[in-house]
Amino acid sequence: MNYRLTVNGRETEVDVPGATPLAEVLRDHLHLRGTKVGCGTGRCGSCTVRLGDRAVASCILPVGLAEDEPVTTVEGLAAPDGPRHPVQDAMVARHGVQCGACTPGMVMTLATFLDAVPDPDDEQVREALTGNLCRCTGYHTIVDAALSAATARKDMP
Amino acid sequence: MTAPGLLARSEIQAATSVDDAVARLAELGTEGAPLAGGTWLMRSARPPRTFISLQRVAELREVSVNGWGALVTHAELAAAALPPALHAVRTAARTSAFPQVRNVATLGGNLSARGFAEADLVPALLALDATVEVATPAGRQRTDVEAYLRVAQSSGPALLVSATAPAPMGRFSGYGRLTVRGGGEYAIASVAIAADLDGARVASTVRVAVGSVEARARRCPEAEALLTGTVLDETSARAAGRAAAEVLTARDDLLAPGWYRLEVLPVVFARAAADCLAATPEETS
Amino acid sequence: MTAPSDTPVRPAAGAVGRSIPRPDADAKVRGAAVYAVDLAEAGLLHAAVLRAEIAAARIVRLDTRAAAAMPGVHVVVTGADAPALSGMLVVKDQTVFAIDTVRYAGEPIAAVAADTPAQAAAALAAVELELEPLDPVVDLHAAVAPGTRLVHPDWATYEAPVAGFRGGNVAWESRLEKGTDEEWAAAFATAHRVISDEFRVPRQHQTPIEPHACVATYTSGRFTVHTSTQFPHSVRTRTAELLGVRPSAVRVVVPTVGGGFGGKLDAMLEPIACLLARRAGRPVRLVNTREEELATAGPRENAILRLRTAVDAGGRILAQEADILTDNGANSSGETLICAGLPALVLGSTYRIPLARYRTRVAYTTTPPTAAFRGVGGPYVVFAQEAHLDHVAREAGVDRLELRLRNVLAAGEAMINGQELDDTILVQALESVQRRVSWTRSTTEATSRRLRGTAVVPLTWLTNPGPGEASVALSEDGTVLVSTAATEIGTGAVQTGVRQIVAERLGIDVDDVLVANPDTDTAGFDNGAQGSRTTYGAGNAAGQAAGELREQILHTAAGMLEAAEADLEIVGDRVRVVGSPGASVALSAVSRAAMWSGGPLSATGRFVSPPPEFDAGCMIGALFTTINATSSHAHAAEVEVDPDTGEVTILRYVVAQDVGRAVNPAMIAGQVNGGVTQGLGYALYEDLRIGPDGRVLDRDLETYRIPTALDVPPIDLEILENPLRNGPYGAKGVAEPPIVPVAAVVACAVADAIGAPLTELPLTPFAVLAALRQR
Repeated sequence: MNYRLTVNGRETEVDVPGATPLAEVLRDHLHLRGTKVGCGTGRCGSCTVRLGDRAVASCILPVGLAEDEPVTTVEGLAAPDGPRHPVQDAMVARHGVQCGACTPGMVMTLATFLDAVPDPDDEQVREALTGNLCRCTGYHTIVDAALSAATARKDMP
Repeated sequence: MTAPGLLARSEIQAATSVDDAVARLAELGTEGAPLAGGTWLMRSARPPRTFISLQRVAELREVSVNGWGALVTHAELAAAALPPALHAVRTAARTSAFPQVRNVATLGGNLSARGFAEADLVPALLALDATVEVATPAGRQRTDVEAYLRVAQSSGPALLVSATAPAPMGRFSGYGRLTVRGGGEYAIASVAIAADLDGARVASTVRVAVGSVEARARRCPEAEALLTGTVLDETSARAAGRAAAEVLTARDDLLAPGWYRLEVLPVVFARAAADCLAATPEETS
Repeated sequence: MTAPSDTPVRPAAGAVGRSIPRPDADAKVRGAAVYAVDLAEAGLLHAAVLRAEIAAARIVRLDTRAAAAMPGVHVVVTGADAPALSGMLVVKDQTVFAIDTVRYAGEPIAAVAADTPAQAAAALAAVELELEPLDPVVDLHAAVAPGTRLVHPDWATYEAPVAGFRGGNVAWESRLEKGTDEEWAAAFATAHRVISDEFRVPRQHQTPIEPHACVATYTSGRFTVHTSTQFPHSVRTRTAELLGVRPSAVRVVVPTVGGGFGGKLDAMLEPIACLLARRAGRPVRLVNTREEELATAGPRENAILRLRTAVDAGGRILAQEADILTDNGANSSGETLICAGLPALVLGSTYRIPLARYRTRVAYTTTPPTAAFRGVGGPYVVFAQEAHLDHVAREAGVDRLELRLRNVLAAGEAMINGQELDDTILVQALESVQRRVSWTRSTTEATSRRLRGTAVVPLTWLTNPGPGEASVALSEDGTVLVSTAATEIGTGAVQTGVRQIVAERLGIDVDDVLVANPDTDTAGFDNGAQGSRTTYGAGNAAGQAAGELREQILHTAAGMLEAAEADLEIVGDRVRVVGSPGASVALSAVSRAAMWSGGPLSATGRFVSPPPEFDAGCMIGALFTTINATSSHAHAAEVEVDPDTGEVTILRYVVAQDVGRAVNPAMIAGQVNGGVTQGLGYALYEDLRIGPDGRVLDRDLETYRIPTALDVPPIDLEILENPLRNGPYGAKGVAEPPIVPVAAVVACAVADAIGAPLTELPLTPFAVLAALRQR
């Protein structure tokens, strides 16, 4: 079947079975390999992308359910040669990145979360990150990054 | 040890209406299944050849004061402004899974998933005395949640359209669950309590349901009897939990031993009661 | 051998000691970093592995003809294609595929390469395999009991480059004995108390978020494999041995690595991908599913530890006996054998043990091979020792902390192996955490029902002494390129540590130091990202190289500036005459000038830490004999236990860590936060369970629970700087120590809270509630 997707503002068409995971379409068909597949069962969160205004686990989202809303991946959050999104900036500055395998998912979860909750506290950030597993950092620096990004966004004109 | 669904990738057909979905499902028989958010089915080891996507059936997204279409997501339920009588369903939705799943997983999927002992909305809707509207090739009918669960676990082209729960004044409900980690996992045990509370918090019309402990969530009349006519508080809730532990037969699996699921029921009952009482006038004033 | 810290250090350029953000973070947050799972090239084939479904069997029939004829299939390989034996440095008892005998569930039987993953999976299903079940060997005591079926009946024929005790299902035995029989008998005869305990610990899985993945190609007799590894030269050696080719026939290239934690030290998928690539003549990609990761990628070993200690009336240890049984799994492809000597050193490097009888046996079982995980045996040996010492303190009537202070080693004393502990600051570390924990206790109140407990644990740990080499070259634009096989696996040791050391040594800006990805064809040997060694070992090698390059730069610049080399300094991108700000020359100009006079400017540095003096006579069969570059640590925790559920909440976690010299404090904090969090997972949740049939039961991240963002307490770290003589700018290893004492601290604190001993990990709510009910 043909599926028409809008990914990072670009319209595209893929011919795959409808239950093909969106993550596989993004990585193998659209060559957007920033989205990682850490577990394949929707638990680790490294495949998180934005569908409309929702953070979703793209490894268990059938591509056939992704046509009606725009998809944003980590590559679409900032121009490759442009300034970073405030969450990306904060993840760098607050040392929220180690091996980086969970990072694209973390960035997408947090960017989506801060749109909905612009001024969160520590506990809200942690709850928002429950679907994103990190094995390196112990999460504290990622939480710091989220809180710092929230402040930076407030200060933006 | 191949990834789920790697061998066979199902095709998806998009239904345009409830009747269209039911007709297609009837035609496909065991080769087809309805698809809502896919968070359960996409992890299935044996998916059907064809999914009927309900995504574009507008009717399934309809929401009223006390009713929800099958495609309403956990995140939407968690954010809904609900009367105190329906509070349990909101807590159940809010504390289930984690954002990526809550954003996609639907009420219909939660009620219809096969072999999903930990489904959070099920005990909540059981306690709320909810009914569901089900569409079949023979037409639509309204049934209670217990009856639907039996149908959903068996088979047949029955499509859940919506769920509705009564919300009389003076009724309160709450939900509690226990996990090993802080969250982000299936409940070891979950409890929903709904009751009419008078000014002194004396409970009547009590309905209690327990999830995760047995293979399917179920009402617990012994706990209901214990709470009826008593003041709903931590002490009575714990006693009801002990009564429930006496009569339930707990599952052993990799997530928790059965004895533990029973042992913690008093605490989970107390959490559900506290959630229930949080919406009473005394607590909110 | 000259370590950089042995030479006079110039006024700091400010690179070392700064919390610079890691330069690879930009690509990682943008999703632009390329991992092994992301590699793609024209003609790429997709591989899949047929794995045994049962743990013990004889292969009666294996027919791959139907599978080979399936659509899209290019090649199928089996044990017949790779008969060579290999092993991780010690006993060579492993083949790529099961040949004749299946020894664990998940063992590779065959592999296929096809045009698509779906075709590869379909072909696996078409392999005809007939197995005749054998008795599984799972229980550790049963494994080493007489009469049990041998997992490797041919064990005596296996090559072992090091002589040692082994036989039957005992894959290796290591002993440490200190004191005569008379002294031993006297100690027990005069002891105030003799205390015995048994402890059991489960397997813990590394679970890096990026699974094992590689892409292999074969051209003109050589293999090139791009792989996610922590130790490229280990993958090279082991892959070559398993393929029956010389090591130089294998080139290992490492892209961005998505975590390792010890789980990516050895070859695993690479030999399979290489075999397929050679036969197919096409690049082949092989990636583990998460289920394959959990079921087959070697975890930290399970173990049973028995401790028996004689103490005097003051709680001073007179003698200690340990009998430790650890699980090798079905073969020695992991580091479990090599580390058999470690428990004895761990038991006797923090506390004074006058007399010891320590034995560690590593048993073969028909379970997946075990391997290294951050801290190797440390976390469970320290757990057992500390829980045991709490028992000793209770029986001897001595305060828990006082007992530790009386037994803890002081500077100048000898550790169990006779090696002098010359720079310990254990007492200072204990004081640091005690100060901060006491403060907590006085300002927080326990809620009515909950139980509170605390514990404090000291620790001596080590830094892997292994060899490493690094080269530096001055580019025409004045930047410096570092080439090394030292591998950045996420710790920041290469991206920040090595770069900061090179920048500091040269006096240039950190941003002007670039690091090439590891490639065994272009970089010399490096002992891998293990044992906290990268900043230390590779940092020393790179620092030495940078020192030589600096001399070359100054020599060239001296001619250009008509000044004495001794009067020159490098500041930023220029060489200038000290005291004459106007007289300077750009590094880029120095590079170009040198090019056509003496030739390009470059240097290579090397490092290995020579073994310290120790008493070799006390050890038998130990492949791990000394404790290099010791560091001193203390951890403390305050916990709360819910008596209704057995849930443990860590209220506060306090760490004092001796890092030698803090090269990058933010990266150190990152290692401590991450290490403690993995330790909390080990203490509270993680248990890679194996059924009685030998199959791994935990096959996804629902049942194998690793900590989430909701499960990590605040971690209060004090960095202690106690410079190491041969560390770069005094730096010691940082990454392993934070995980080692965590389970011990948590278990002792929970036992304190509930007033009952805990002898098994993990402390799940189920285990804690059961212990509470049995009080």
